[in-house]
Amino acid sequence: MKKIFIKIIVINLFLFNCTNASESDLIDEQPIATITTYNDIKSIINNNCINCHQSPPLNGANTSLLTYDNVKNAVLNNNLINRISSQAGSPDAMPFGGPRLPQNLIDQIIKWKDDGLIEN
Amino acid sequence: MKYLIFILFPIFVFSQDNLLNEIDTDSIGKQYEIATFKGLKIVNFESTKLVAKDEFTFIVSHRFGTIENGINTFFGLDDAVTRLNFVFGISDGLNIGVSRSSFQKIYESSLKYRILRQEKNGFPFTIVGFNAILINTALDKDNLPKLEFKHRLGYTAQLLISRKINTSFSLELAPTFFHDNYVLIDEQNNSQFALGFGGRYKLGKRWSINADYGWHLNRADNSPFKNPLSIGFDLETGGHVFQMHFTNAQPMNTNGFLGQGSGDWSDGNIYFGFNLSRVF
Repeated sequence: MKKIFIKIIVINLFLFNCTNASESDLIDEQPIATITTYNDIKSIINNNCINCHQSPPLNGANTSLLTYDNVKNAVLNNNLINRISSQAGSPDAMPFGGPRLPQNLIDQIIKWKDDGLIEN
Repeated sequence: MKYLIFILFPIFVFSQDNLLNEIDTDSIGKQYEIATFKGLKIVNFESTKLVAKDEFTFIVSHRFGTIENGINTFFGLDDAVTRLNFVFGISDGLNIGVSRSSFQKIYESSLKYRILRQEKNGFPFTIVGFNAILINTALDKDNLPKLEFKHRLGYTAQLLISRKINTSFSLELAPTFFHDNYVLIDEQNNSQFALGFGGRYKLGKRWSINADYGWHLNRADNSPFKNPLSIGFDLETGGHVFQMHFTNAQPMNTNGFLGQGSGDWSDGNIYFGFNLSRVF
């Protein structure tokens, strides 16, 4: 009985921690720079991709995304934007096994492409 | 003497009859239906089976990537998601479990407890409760700057109601409430309701065909996620239960396959998977 009582207390502690957050609640809405360059999106790639996409690539990845040329090549020839845009679990979705990137980060990479894939 | 036995013989028979009657009823008490389900899961949904007291079960589950890509990813083998799950029986009616899934790096701790049991000629259902707390460790503060620990949490509360209809056919109903502190789609309510349906039909001594379906009751209109439908086979070998199946949900935690299954049977975007359990 005592054990059950303790369990109920623990469960309640967790329940008081309920939130109703979604993606837009947790991102900083920064004004997107007029022209997005590789320097602007480099941190997104570094945070999310180079765990596996190093040189040499790990865990079954087949390209590395360490340098400007790597990333540019992946956008142009390796379908990078489509793959990060598709839902987790869909064919070819990236990052592998992880949640989809927040839409604002995907939008920055799309804008980088639209602005002409400038280095800096 | 011989005549005496001959005369008393019907009385002996009569008294033995009485003894047999006792065996049939009073001396045993309530008789419960057993083996409603053979696995701890039907396919994705928890079944009403529990691990026995002091037994330790290790369950390895895989959902491979979509078979749609064909030979290019070897029908999904390249993109497997794995879940390791340890379940321990504190008593026959109370189980605790800990698991880690590589789908969004989710840790889960769970509690499963039997409330009522189906009896032969008695109460018609087995009712089991299932509760879990999930921690999503794949969310990244670099991507979501305002992320706090509480946003990683999710909760499951589920009632599993099953009935063994005859020796080879069992059904289950699973009303489910789950809450994710963080959802991907802004329009999606964090508190979500679902109704699960599951069944098992025995094809042979060691084989059965299983299916389950989760009906999500308040999915957002623009949600890319689909209700999970799964069909599979159970193969029982000594000590192992081997479940092979096709499903359109890649996650394996309750919150995952109900809330974030993205496959679709109509366009062939489904996943092959198996659950393999071993009792120690």
